[in-house]
Amino acid sequence: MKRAQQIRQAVVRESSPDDVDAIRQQFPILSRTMRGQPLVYLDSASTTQKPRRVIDAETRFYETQNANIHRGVYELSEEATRAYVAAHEAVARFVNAASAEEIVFTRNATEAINLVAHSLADSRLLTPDSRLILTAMEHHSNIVPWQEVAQRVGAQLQWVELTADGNLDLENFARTLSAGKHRVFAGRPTPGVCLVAVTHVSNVLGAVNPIGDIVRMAHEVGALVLVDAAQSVARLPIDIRAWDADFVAFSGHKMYGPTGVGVLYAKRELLEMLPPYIRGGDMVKTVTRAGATWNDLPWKFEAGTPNIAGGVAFGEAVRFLQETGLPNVWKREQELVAYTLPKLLEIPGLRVVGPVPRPNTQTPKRAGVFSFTLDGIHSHDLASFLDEQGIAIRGGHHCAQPLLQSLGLAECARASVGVYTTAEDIDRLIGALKQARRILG
Amino acid sequence: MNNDVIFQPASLLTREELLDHVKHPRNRGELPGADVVREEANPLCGDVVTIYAALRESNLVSRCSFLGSGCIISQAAASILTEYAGGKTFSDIQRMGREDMEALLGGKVSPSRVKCAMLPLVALKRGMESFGVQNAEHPPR
Repeated sequence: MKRAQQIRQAVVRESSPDDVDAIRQQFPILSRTMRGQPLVYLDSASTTQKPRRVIDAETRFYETQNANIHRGVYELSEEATRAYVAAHEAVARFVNAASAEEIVFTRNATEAINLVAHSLADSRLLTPDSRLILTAMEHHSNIVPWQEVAQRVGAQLQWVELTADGNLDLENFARTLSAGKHRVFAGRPTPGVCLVAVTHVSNVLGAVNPIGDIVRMAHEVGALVLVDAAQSVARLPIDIRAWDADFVAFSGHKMYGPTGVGVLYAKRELLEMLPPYIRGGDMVKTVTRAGATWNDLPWKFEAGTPNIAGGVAFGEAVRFLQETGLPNVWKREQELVAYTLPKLLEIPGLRVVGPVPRPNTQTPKRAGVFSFTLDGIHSHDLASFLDEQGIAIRGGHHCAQPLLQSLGLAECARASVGVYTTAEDIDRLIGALKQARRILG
Repeated sequence: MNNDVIFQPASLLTREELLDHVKHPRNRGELPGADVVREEANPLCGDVVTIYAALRESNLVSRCSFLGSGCIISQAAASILTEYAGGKTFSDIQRMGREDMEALLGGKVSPSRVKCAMLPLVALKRGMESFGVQNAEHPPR
């Protein structure tokens, strides 16, 4: 308890509450009440709230710049195109991609992963010799597309297990990598290539995977790596070139941006060799009755009129994150983790799902995504009970049924933080959980 | 902030009668010699309810019991329904809908929880239906 108080003071001291207040004031929804009480939003792992500047950017686009892109020779269309391209450039800088040509806008991370899975299969790089290596902690979006593709091309699916404390078992990963067949490639993937699909931060466990190490190990055996960064990209700094990842997928709506815009990053040579996923207007250079040639990158993969206004607003969300500074965001999230975990663990009958870092150790870190079970109370009952007090948490399987099965759970509750989360929010969560245990347990 | 803000439980979830059904379920367990045994589940939330019913004259529920696991709404609904269903006919049960389950539970159920409330009723309805089909010579009417 004493330690919790010390940490609380540290949270308050190190990132002055003025900073959080200044951030909170930018989010209009946080000023509304829920069931007569100030809203406590602890479901940012599902989707984040949106700051005023993002909402305004979408409105402003429609009010002052709306036209289709890459079409008109008139100034308005040129302006719209510049704004949409600028959003790609903002994302490229944000994740340190080599160029905006490697940034494809999709609907969301799910569509980005589907794009890779289908284009890899269509390219015939995936064959019956191929292995698709997934981890036990993947979200359905990084499982189901690979199951379908594996079935289609006859490739083999393999799973990397977790350690007892809820982190990825890197030894198991190394064994899995070296156990099967693989084709070593010199610079270019060849048919039979092996692919590793791994999440950066687990949306259930909060575990942070060492992507740099995973990519290095995979590349040593000639495997490609797809990173699901949906849960991490707005929590901690990401440097795609330092990772050397081949594919990275994430969603704008978990980055304080609008729904309906996501990103696929892929290395240029891969985007060049992969066939398009969806075909139609804007992704072509020339079309004749005989066939078509593909547009330059990234437009080859953005068929049809995209979500232009959403993309522009997403660019504003990225600028918001860049100005807030991801190192600051992650540092504050670590303070919230240090504040929250001991308080959760103090509640009798509460079991935290995922790694619980020991105090005063630096690694492994974990994100502010807290899944837990409480005394056999169903998570939907917990979520309903908390909702009565204006506290939004998630219950259920969190789109990770294979993970929950491997943990021996059908469902669990999850509270997750965002840049606007305060120690007071956590206090209200803890208080309500204690009441829930008394009344429902 | 005070962790123990006074909270007046006003919701369906915290109705004492409901919690009593969860903590002391009625008619919980298999029913030996049941004519109807039907399991239904909500895969989304992991709620499972198996309804057992013994019938008289093939269309009148004489006794009803349940087994299951899951949220408060689904398990309380099952317990309450097994008490209510005794003495009801096939058509009584088939006529029941969301409002009837809400009346039994004592309050409105939010849209996201309707499936939980309906789970035991769906099990009983479907169980009685297939019993009726299997015993077409004595159609439940």
